[in-house]
This record gives sequence, structure tokens and C-alpha cells, in this order.
Amino acid sequence: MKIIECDGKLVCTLDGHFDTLQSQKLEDELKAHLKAPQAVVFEMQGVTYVCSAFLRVCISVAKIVGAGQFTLRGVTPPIKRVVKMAGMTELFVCE
Amino acid sequence: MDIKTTEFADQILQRAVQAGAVFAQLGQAETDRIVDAVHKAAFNQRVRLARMAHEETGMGKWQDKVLKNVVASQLVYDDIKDLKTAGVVSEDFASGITEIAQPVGPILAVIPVTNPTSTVIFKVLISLKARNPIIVCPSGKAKRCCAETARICYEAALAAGAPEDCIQWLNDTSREQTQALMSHKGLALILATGGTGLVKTAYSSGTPTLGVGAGNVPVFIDVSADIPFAVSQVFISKLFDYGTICASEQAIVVEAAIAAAVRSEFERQGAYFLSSEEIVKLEAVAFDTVKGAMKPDVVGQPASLIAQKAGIAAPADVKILMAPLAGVGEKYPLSSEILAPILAFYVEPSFTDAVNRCIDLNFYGGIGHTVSLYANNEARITEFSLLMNAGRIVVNTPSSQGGVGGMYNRLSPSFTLGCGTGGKNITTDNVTARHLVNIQRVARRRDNQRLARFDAALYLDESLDSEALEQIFDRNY
Repeated sequence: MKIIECDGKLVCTLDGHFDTLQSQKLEDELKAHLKAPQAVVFEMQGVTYVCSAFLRVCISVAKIVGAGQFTLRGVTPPIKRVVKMAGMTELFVCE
Repeated sequence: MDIKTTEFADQILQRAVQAGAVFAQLGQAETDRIVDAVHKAAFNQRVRLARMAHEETGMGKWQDKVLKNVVASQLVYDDIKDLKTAGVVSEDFASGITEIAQPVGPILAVIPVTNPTSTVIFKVLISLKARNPIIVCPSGKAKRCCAETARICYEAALAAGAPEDCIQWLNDTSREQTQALMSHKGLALILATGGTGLVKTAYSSGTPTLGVGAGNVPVFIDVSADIPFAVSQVFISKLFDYGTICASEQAIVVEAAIAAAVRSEFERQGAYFLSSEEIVKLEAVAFDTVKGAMKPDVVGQPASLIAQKAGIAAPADVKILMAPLAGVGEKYPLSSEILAPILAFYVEPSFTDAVNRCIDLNFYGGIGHTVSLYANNEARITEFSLLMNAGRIVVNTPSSQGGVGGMYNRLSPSFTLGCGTGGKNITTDNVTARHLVNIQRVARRRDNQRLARFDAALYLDESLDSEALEQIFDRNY
């Protein structure tokens, strides 16, 4: 995963299979960079699987930065389906 | 509903909904690995969990509860392991239809006190097989053993790659909380195994429900039956966990021609026939005439203890208490379902009268459940079966085990036995994993050939009746 600041936004490019371990790594990395209020973008094109821990990280980020400030971008249909089934589309923008 | 109750339900279902979303990503192989791991974990704890269940509920026999756990784990797993429950499950080029299995979503599993650990194992396995998260809702009298069973299954599931919160279990839930869960918008399905009141509550919640009905199983022993064999099978069934399975026998019905032989065989194998005075004593102990239901104190208790409670001087080693009765209904409390080693006994003048009696019993609190028949005459088996209203008509087998399935017949092993519309259920099936998927059908173009070549304008001609039109429609087909 890669985290950079770009135009005041925190952009995280994520890749692959997000199991509990990977999700924990993401959370740890975010802690070092995240400061509210700040727009956050997860680039999701390369993500193939998300677990419950990843969803919790998303909920946590959404709570910290506030509604409308958190976007999941490039979500593939299988992941979009997970987000929809989990009832989370109101917490963040899913593109 | 107060805020706390709503929040409680919201929390549980939020976790379940998220678990369901994650679970839906898994394919058949990953799902099957999880189910295999859970079945093994449960099987390996079958004795400890059985002892726990017996200790906590005070019902039945721990040894038989071990067998129930074996059925719920080993036999259920064997039955469902090869089912296709994820992704594309069938393809047919000729019809152009592809079937895809999707999970139904979060399931609330209501667990009865009579079969606590076995029902938990069973419902967990069938739910996970279909990729559904499950919320275990135990009877208040079996909380600890159910929680422990759920915990064992959950740990095994997680270790095998299942999503977090794929199994949740409730402790000390109030009626309001249970109702809040049942009617929560995030809940997909209720598996309601329990009494009539509970099943009705589930159906009234607005959430799709697979429920069960009450049983009042008549056993018809035909003149063609092997009497010693038939009686021995009844003992195997009625004594199994001291009669706690809803499919257990409730009444024996025989024709007068063989009544003496049947009675003698029952006595020889350990049954005690009650006098009229003793029947009155037993009614007082076993049946609540105000509520119109069996008294909980006798459920799953040995006959000797029940006889003692009722002040009946039965032999110390009595196995079943037999009550010869002349009718069915409110005036005859022992003609109702009593989940204990108590059997009503009816002698009828003819086959027709015997079948009528079985219909009386079947329709008196047991519609759609189970009936039992011992016969070696196929014509009689068919004639009898056509007249019964039961999801299971078990032939020449112990009724408890026969109804549950998988041990003495090829019915799917299950601890949720549907009773059909007569029992206010949606199915007569032994509920299993295939009931817990939504099947989607991809329907490719395959023109209806006759419709395609037919001049549809002819339908507008009122002078042409169905016969004339169908002749044209089917011409050269």
C-alpha cells in the first residue's frame, strides 16, 4: 500500500487481499498520517477481497474525518457489492 | 420499543450484516473448508456438550444427547457437504438457464430447550454452508450449553477463514429484545424451532421464517406388521432422550385382531398399562388442562420418575407408561403431545376405524408433522399415507430418529421439521442448507418455437375457441 498527501487529500492506494493482518497494517499506517478534518481517498482498483476488519477501518476513518470527506474510488463490482450489502454506502462515497 | 432495545438489535444486526457481506465473497471451496472445520470441532466436543446440555436442562439422557450431537455434526455434514451453495450451481444449455446460489443473509436461529446443543450445531452448519451469518438465540433454560456450542463452532470457523461475526450468540435476552431482532430490517430469515407461540411470533415479525409445528404422532401397527419388531422400534424411539424429539410417538393404534398380541409384547419389553384410575393420576402430573399443553416437569423424564410423581405403583424398571384410551380430544388429555415416555393406546375394530383414529390424532395438534406405520403390505402403506397430513410418514422405523432423518431412512437429517401449511409453515421439508440460499436464474434466449411461428392475430378472433387455436398452435410440433 502507498499513502501520499496530494492537494490536501490523503490518498491511499490499496492492492490485493485485505485480510485481518493487512487491515491492521493499514490502520497503523493511517494513524501516522490521518488528521481531521482532511479528505481521505482509498484507491481501490487493485483490491480483490475485504474482510470485516477492513470495513471497521473504513467506519473508523469516516468517523474521524466526517461525512462526505471519505471516498472509496475505483471500487470493483465485487467490492462495491460488499459495501452495499454491509449497508455502508451512507458512511462514505463509493465511486 | 425503548432506545436501548433498538440499539441492542442494531448492534447485533450491523455486525451480522457486515459479516454477511464479507462472507458473500467466498467461493464454494473456501466455504466448504469452513463447514468441514466447524463440523469436526463440534463432533470432537460431542460428549462434553451433551453432558452440559443434560446438566443444564435436566432433560433426557446425556448418552442420547451425544447421538443427537453426532447426527447434527457428522450426519448433517455428510448430507450437505457436496451441495453446491455458492456461485453457479447448475447450467443447462438446452433450456439456457444457469442457476446461481446467493446467501439469504443474516439468520436468527431460535434454539429449543429439548435439543439445545444439537440444534445449534445443525443450524450453524447449514447456515455457514449457504454463506449466511447466524445469530444463535437459545432457550433461557439452555443458555450456557448453547453459548459454549456456538463458541466452539465460531472459533473453528474463524480459524478456517470465515468472517468475524459469522456466528453470534445471545445471552439473557428479553422477549422485547428477541422481538426487536426478529423484526429488524437487517435480518434476512428466522429459523424458528420451538413452541407454537414462538413460531407465531416469528411469523408475525415480518421477517421470512422457516418454522415448525407441534407433533402428535400416531403409530399404526398393521396386521401385517412384525409385532415384536414394531414394538422394539417404538421403544428405541420413545426412550431416545426420554421422548424429547417432537417426532416421537404419542399413541399406538392397533386393530382388535392383534391388540392382545401387541399389548403383551409391550408389557414384555417393559411397558406398564395403566388402569383408569391411574390414567387420571397421570393426567394430573403430565398435562395442564388450563393451558391445554403438557407440563414441562415431565418433559424428558424417565417413566419410573413420572410414575412416582403421579403415585402410580408401576414396576421400578418400567420404561413406558401406556394409557388405553377411548377417544381423542380435550376429554382425553393423554391423547395430546407429551414429550415423555407416555403412550396412548387405542384398539379399533377394523382397519378403517384404525385409520380414522390416526386421522383424529394427526389432526389433534399434529397436522403436518409426522406419522408412523408398521406394515408389510405396500397397498396398506400407500392407502394409509394418502390419508395422512404429515410431512414425514415413517415406515417400519423408530419415529424420533425416523423423523429427524439420516439414520433409518434417506430423509435429510434435520432438527427443524417443517409441517407445511396445516402447521402454518411454508414447507413440509426437513429443513437443510438448500433452504437457506436464494437461487437466481440467468435465462438466455430460447424462443418458444410454437409461439414464435404462430400468427398471434388469431388470438383476437373470438370465434376461435381453445380447441381450434391449440390445433393450429400445435400443428406439426
